[in-house]
Amino acid sequence: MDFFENQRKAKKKTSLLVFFFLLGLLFITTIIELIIGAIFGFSIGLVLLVLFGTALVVGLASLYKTNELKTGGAVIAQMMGGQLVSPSTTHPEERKLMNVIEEMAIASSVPMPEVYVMQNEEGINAFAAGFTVDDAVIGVTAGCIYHLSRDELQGVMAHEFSHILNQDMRLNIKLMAIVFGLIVLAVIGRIVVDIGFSAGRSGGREGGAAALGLGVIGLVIMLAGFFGEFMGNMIKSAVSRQREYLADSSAVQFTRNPEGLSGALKKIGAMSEGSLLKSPRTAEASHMFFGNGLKQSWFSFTSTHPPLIKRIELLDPQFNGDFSDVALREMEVNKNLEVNDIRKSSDHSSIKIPGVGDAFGQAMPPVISGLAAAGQSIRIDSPSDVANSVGSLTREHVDFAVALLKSLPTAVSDATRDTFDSCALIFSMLLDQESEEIRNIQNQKIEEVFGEQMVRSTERLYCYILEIDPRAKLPVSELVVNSLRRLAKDQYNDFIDLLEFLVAADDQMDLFEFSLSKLVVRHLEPHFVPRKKPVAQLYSLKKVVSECETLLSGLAHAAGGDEILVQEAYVSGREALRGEVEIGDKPIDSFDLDLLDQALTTLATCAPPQKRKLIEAAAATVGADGFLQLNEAELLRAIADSLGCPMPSLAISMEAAA
Amino acid sequence: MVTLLISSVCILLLVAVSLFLWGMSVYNGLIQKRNSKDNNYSQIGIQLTRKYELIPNLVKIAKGYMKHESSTLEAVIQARNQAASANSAVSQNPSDPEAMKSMVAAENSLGGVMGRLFALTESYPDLKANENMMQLTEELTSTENKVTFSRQAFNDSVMTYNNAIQQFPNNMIAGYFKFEEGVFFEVEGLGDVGKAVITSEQKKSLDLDFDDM
Repeated sequence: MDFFENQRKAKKKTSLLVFFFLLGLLFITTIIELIIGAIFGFSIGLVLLVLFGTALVVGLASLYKTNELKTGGAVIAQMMGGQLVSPSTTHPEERKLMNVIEEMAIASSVPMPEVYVMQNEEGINAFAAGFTVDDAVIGVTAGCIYHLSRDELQGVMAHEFSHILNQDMRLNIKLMAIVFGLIVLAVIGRIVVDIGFSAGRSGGREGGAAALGLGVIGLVIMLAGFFGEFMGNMIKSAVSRQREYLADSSAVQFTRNPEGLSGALKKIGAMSEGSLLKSPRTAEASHMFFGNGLKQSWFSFTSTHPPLIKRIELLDPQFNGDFSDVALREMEVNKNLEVNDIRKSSDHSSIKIPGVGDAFGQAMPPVISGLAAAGQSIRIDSPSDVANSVGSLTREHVDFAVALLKSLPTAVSDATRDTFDSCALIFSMLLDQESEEIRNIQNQKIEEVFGEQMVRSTERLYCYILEIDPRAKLPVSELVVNSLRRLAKDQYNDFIDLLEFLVAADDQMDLFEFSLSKLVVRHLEPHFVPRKKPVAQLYSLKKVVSECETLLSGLAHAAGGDEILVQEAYVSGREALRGEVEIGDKPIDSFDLDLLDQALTTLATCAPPQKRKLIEAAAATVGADGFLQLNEAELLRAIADSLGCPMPSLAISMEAAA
Repeated sequence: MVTLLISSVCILLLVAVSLFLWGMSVYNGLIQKRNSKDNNYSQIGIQLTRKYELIPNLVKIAKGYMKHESSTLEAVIQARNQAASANSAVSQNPSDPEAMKSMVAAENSLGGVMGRLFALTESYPDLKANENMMQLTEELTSTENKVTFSRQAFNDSVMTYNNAIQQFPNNMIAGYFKFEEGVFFEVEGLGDVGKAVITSEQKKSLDLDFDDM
């Protein structure tokens, strides 16, 4: 489904959510009014009082929850009892999970999310939560990694990634805050009743009457709270159910393997625990989960998930609703299989001599060698194909990611999973490959900031970096982000400063350096710097004419060639923007990446349809000659990424389209 | 009269709701800080395990050369075993301060005997020239470095958590729900390794002392 269209729809759904919320609020107040009115008689003052009181309480609670959730998905994962999985985990089941998620992250060009395992949950379930791809987390139950095969796990993870890419997560968090406001009354009512009745018992006659009054009022609030909860569940189910079907079908599109997902669902059906969750806070987050985490209530229409059988039938029309022949693997059998799954037997105890590791002599996986043969330029038929590829995955992307990861030397893939080595890996990609003199200056600075060992690690990895497939470099940075999140705040500041120094060391910024540093900083920043208030969206490009000019001129210069070619490239981008905005007919002379950077920050506040136009124009500019070079394709990805649009590797998508 | 009763109840209720929400947010905030502290340990745990895997190999090689130092080698193995079991206890339950304390102690005594071992190797040039020994030493140093590096983030999160549970009025809630103070992972007797990182850590604690005054 179209990424931009989805974003727009998610926004629309949010307003619908607010409408439902107000409706629920009105409903609750009416009930309180009616009951209180029946007891004490109606009066205007009373009506207003109750109205204000209820609105205040519900509003306060929703605000509180919004505030609690503003830091993103990690809070929810921890609330559900999740434990962070270290990227370098050696636990076989966790390793399998991390490998599957790494593949999906690379395939969809989304930074590797933090992964949490809920150790106390034996059922099969999973969720994705967060506001943006940068603070997204994935949580899975212990039962999920314990019982599911690799294919099934991949199906479930593809389902969760579709929630991430479809902007469902954001909606889900808002839903959580709103529903919390509605159900908080039930909790408070229960407390007031307790206080009222216990005070009534201990207090004297007069106090007793007042306490009884309190108790009655508590009951009223509780009753209203019950309806609030009911309304909340209805809202959740209305928003969530359709999305689950959508995510199921997207998951099949991503993996083109319906058996994986349907196998996972069948195991849920066959297990006594199914997808049930034990956590006492399940009710708050049930709508985020893969399967139904709550016991079926008598109102099936308030269920947040479609019936299991129906979901399976859509994936596997042959299914007859009988779970008895689904084999659930025993743990012992599982263990053996899982050890084999580790993508590469990473043998730590032998130290690889730089440059003579497995980077040489290793057969390239077919997907990669096929593309390498194509001369590493990509035919580009229409700019809108490029925009269409944003946020949509296919089986080819996943295969590509798997092949890419396989082609990495062990030293590099191990480095992506360790905080220290991840720094070294990023530095090693920024070491100047032409001049030894500059490299020495760079190394000196690295030693100054992070010590001698960091220089040694950097130089060791540098030897591998020279050898790896150039298309693997940017994807590697997506993995590295997850390890770098474990930096201390001071280390992060040092890291960013050093990054800037290394990029600027050769006095000229090439496209790769620009794309790389932009990607890393952008994805890492939200973890260390508190989120800024969202700026108002721009619904027209007319207010950002000069930014558009900067973007297209920058790209035209980047595409290279003489003045005429630059002019041609610029004009073809300009044409793509026609109808949306008229920009100057000559490109800006100088090519300044800092300016481009600023322009991108502003343009990132555009609404989805405008972003789509921008990406089309960018593709038209860079691909004016009908072809995309590798570094041009990477730049395009970095630009789409800065605009908040994850774009899967173009190399593969264009191959598939041609 | 009735309106008065109801409005006073409403006001009471509002106060109660605010208090309830406040208490909940403090409680949840503390839980969250404790979790992020514990989560920051996971990587250290893995790196330490890696280190404990390397030490027996190193001792095995050293044994061939250092015939007369068997007591030191034994001490290394013993300290290593202790540290390894202490580490797995912490990895099981990172929020237990006692386990954390004994891990730090075990890690320190291991550091001590390892230092002694390396000092002794100085008088065995053949051992120092052994290629496997060189590789192992190199890898041990780099693992040690990684531990030092990750420790900073862990200690930062312990500090954030400890500050949070000591501050008024959080301390009331922390006391009621028995939040225990986190233990810093500090190593005495530093080798060459990670000196730069440590000095910056120390500098920071100096800064903090200054702030407190």
